[in-house]
Parts: sequence; structure tokens; C-alpha cells
Amino acid sequence: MSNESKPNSPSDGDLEKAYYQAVTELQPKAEVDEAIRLQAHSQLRKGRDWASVPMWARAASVIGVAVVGWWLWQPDLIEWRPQTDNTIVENQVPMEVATEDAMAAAPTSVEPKSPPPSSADALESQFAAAEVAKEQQAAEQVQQQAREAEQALVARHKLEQAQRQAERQHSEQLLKFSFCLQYKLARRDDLVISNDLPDGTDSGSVLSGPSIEWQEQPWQLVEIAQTAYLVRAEGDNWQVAKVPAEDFTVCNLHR
Amino acid sequence: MTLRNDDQLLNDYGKRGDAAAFDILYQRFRQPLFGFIRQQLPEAVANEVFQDCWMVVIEQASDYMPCGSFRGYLFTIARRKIADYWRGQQRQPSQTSDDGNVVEQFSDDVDPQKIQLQQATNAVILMCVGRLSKVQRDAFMLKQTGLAVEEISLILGATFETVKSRIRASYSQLRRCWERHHE
Repeated sequence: MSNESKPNSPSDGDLEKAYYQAVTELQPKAEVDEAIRLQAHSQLRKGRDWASVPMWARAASVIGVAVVGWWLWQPDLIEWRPQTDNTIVENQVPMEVATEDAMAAAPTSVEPKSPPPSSADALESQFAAAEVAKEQQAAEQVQQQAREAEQALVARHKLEQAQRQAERQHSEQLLKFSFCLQYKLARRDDLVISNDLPDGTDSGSVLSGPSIEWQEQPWQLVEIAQTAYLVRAEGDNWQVAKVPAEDFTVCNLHR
Repeated sequence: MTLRNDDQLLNDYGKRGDAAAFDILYQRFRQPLFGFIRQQLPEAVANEVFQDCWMVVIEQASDYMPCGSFRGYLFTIARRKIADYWRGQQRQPSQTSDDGNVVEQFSDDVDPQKIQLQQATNAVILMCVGRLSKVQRDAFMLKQTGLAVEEISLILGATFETVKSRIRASYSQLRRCWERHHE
């Protein structure tokens, strides 16, 4: 960059220095600094949990969560589970009442077969014990249902989280892909431009593809039969340029 | 101990979980990136866009594959975010002509009268940069962030020679503007 010949005019270096000093004054807010730093560090912790695991493990995790979520949401299965548990308890009861000691150890778990005839108090206490047992069972059932509902909620939340993660990853990959392609295409100024959309193009959705900047113009990327095209509307006409296969292939590695 | 380059730092952060590497990288680019954004956007938005840019870097760090330099990557993100903002506002900050004529200022809160009154060198140079045509300004500002001409041409999607001539023209424009305000 040469300097102008006029005397006392600032040199390129003077301009750069002044510009540098001026720009140095422009600083982001301290809270923005802190927010970015916190995000970077917390992302690291999250990254160790999820982003750093291989793709197959992530996919397996998503499927696993989906299966558990589906299973927990089946009403039949929810009803079936406590019944099964009760059956097991009932099967255990005869073993517990097999001896007098066992009866003494767990007085509320089983009802005596015949109450002592002379004691009204004892009869009353047996009824009370039965009532308590019933209440306990009902409370346990409510707790069990609450636990299951909570588990279902957690499973659904995890499933949604996994879906969101997958969507975000997709959009990040798309950004990297278009960044790569833009870089590759910037080296090319010899692409042939035609006015005809390639066969098989849906002209209604042609401008909804990823946006790529080439030759200082925004273009939409359209993929048809494993070939990519840059497309833009120019007045009533289309401008279409075929993306070189080698560039497209290399950048596809980012997706 | 050797100085790690930008790609190494991002790699160490994204793939090896080295938080200190991010801090170094952030310090390296914090000021140039914010300066670049702030000159094109009002302050509140500039802070948001600046944060958004780093969020993209953070999110993508674990899968980052160098395609050009990190510097180019970062400033490409910033350019896109700035363009998104102006697109959302349904207006462009300035013309895109290459003719070098005075164009509308792109930073809303730079007031020429105030500048003359204060005789603030910083404000004058920023105003002069703001009065460059968009293409010249882009080329000049990217050059000042430390990018090589070749890389600027990749980011802007223009040829090497075009970018070079825009930079040259931008210095001439700046010089004229500077002299006008220091007479």
C-alpha cells in the first residue's frame, strides 16, 4: 500500500495506528466476557458427558431412551407391574407365617386366622391393624404410580433433550458444510452460469436451501441426484451454476 | 514452551477439554472481534452478536475441522451474524457500490459534529472508515484484523486482485477523509 505524495498527509502506517488505537477503545461488556467464559467452561463439562462420545453410542442412547419412554407410557404395562409385585409379596407370606416367631416379628403383615374369642380389644386392634395395612398398601400404590409418572417424565425429557441435541448438531454441521463450500468456491471464478434450472428441480422450494455467498452474491444451494447447484433468482430469470463435484465431495465430509 | 496456534488451542479446548486453551483463544480474539462487530452495529446489538459468535465457536469446538484459518472462520461467522441482523432489520447499513463515494454512516451513534467539536482522533478515523463504501470497508476492516489478502478474498468471495485494489482504494479514501477533518 503506497502513500500519497501530498505533503503532511498521513501514511498508511499512521492511518493503521490511528485506527488500531480507536478500535482498541471498543470493548465488550464485562458481563458478556463472563457469560462467554462460563458458557465455554460449562460446555466442556457437558461435552465430556455427551458431545465427546462416539456417534454410535449417541444413537444407541437415543434409541434406549426412546424404548424406555415407550415402555413407561404403555398403560397396560403400568397396571401390570404392581400386580406382579403383589403376587411376589403374597407368595412370600405363607413362608413368613410358618412359625409363631415369624408372626411375632411381623404382626401387621398378616391377619391371624382366628381371633381370640374372649378379647374384644384384641379384635378391635386386629381390625385397626388391617385398616393400617390397607392404608399402607394404598399409599404405596400411590407412591409407585407417582414414581412411574416421574420416571416417564424424566424419560420424555431426556428424549426431547436428545432430539434437540440432534437438531442442533444438524444445524451446526450445515453451517460448517456451507462455510467449507463457500471457501472452496471462493477460489473458483470459472463456473458456467446458465438460466435453466436442472431437471428435477422443484422451483417452489428452490430458494429454501442453505445460503452460500459466491462472487459477492447470495446463492441457494440445491442438491439434485447427488449433484449440487448454486441457484439465484435474477429478475424473472434463474442463474444456475454447477458446483464442482470435488468441492462438494470434500465439504460433504462435514455433514 | 512453544506458543500454541489458534487451531491447536481450539483443538485442545474442543477435543481435550482444556478450558485454559479457550481462555487464551478468547483473549487473542476478544478485542479484534468486538471492534470489528462494534463498528458495524449499535453497542447493545454488538454485544449480543459478539456473544453469539463465541457461542457458535464453543458449540462447534468438539467437531471443528480446520478449513482455512481459525481467524478466517471466526470473522466469517461474525460477518454472517451481522448480515443476519441487518436482514432482520430490513435495511442495509450502507451501499455496496465500489465507487468510493460517501455513503451513509453505518454506526448510528457516531455524530460528525460531535467529532469536530471533540477533535477526537479516534472518532474521526472510525467515522472515516464508516464512510468508506461497504466493499472497501469490509476489505479494510478484515485486513486490520490480521487476515492475509488471500484469506480476505476467500471470505469475501472476491479475487485476490480485487481485494488488493479495494484495500488500496480504502487507504486513499481514508487519507482524504482524515485530511479534510484535520484542516
